Amino acid sequence: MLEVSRYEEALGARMAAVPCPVVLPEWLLADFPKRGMAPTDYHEARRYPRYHLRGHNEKALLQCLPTLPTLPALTRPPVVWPVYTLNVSRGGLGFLHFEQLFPGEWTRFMLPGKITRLAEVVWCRRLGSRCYAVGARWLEKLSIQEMRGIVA
Amino acid sequence: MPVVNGRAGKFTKLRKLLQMTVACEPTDTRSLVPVAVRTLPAGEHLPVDMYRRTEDGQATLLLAKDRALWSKDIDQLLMRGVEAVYVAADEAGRLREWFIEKIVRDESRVPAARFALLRDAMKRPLHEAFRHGSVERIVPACRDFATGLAAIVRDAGVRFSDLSSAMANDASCFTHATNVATCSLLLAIEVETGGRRELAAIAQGALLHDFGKRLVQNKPPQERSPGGRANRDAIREHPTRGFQALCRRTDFPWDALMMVYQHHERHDGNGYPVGLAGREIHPWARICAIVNGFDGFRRHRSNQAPLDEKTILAQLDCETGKRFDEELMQCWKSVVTRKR
Repeated sequence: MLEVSRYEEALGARMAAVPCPVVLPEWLLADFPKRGMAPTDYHEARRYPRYHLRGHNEKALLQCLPTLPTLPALTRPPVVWPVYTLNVSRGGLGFLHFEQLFPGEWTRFMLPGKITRLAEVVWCRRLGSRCYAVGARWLEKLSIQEMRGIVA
Repeated sequence: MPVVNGRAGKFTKLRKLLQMTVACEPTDTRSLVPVAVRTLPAGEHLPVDMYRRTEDGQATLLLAKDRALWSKDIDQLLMRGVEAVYVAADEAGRLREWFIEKIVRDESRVPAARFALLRDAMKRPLHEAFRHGSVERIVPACRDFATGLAAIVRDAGVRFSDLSSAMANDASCFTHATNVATCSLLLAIEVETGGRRELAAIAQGALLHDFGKRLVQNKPPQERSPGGRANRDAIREHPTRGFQALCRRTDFPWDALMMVYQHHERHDGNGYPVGLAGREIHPWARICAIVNGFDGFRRHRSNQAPLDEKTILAQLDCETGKRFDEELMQCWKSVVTRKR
């Protein structure tokens, strides 16, 4: 158990150290690190609560899968990219990527805690020339234990 | 097998046509697609069977394939109030391709007349495809229409002034889609965007640029009511919804898909759904944005009268650099103002 715990710590540390190609806009830098449960509003339609997971060391690994048949293959090389996470819930994930992703694209994520999941992109919004906020939904929901491990 | 005798008396032949029943079994009308009688080419041997709908809703064979319908037959069908005949849904594509080929190659008609004939011929089949709701029917129908439009507009020397009088300006979605497709082709030719295949893809993307509106709640915006914002937000989802409906198809090109997804992006980055700016927006989407705005001012709408072209260009000029690409806007102005 100790060896597994050390492995996860080491993996988390390695992921945090990987340089990320995302260029954060200045207005976001000041308020970027954030943890804790995200507030909801009257029109909230999400099923599960979201938790902020923002910080310069809060990263996940992303691999885009070839899901859209006419998307030019050159724009999606088989590379694993580090991304900044924004928030996470049992149903989905918000993150920052350096290029645009399209609704319907499938991606594979590796999160801290050795959690690997497939997600489908739902929306994408440009924040800067190399910074896009992306919302994705998990194709298989995270369990409560996995969520506790991520937000702890 | 029904027989059409060209030497029969004035109404005898038509009577025979209309009385032909149970030469084959009546066909379920759900599997039939309407074809406007006015658009049928006289004297041409049709490649598919034609049916008519009886009063009890069944369809009976009107004319077997490889037979011709003559001008007099067409006139008399119209006199009797028969506005549409029907073809089997699985043969509709074949008739469409044949028909478009006939119209496109008919050099006895000026381009504007060919354009109007093609538009009128495609209105019913497209309306039927959209009413059916299946993307499997809609995309091939739009592709054929786009191919025909591209072939007509590509004729050397066809100008906006040739076609503008033939372009309708009612408020229907079909009219708007057709006008945006036609104008997109004119602008694409002006900026020398690609060859025959690319032009057909541009027309296909333009025809379906507002496809997502069918998939969102589409109420008139209530500016001052609490629900107004919700309605506006719902409408702003239509590029994404249209993209999601079409993105997994292998017969809808990626560049045309970008017209559906990005036609509401603005040059200054304040558009939707992504907020792309300048050259990040696909060139075909930038073309579509300009002509979409142009046709928006040309149309009859409940809250505004249609404007003349000079006024429209002046209105669009105010948005150059903010909403529209400046270079493309200059090209579009020269397309619209160029006279013979």
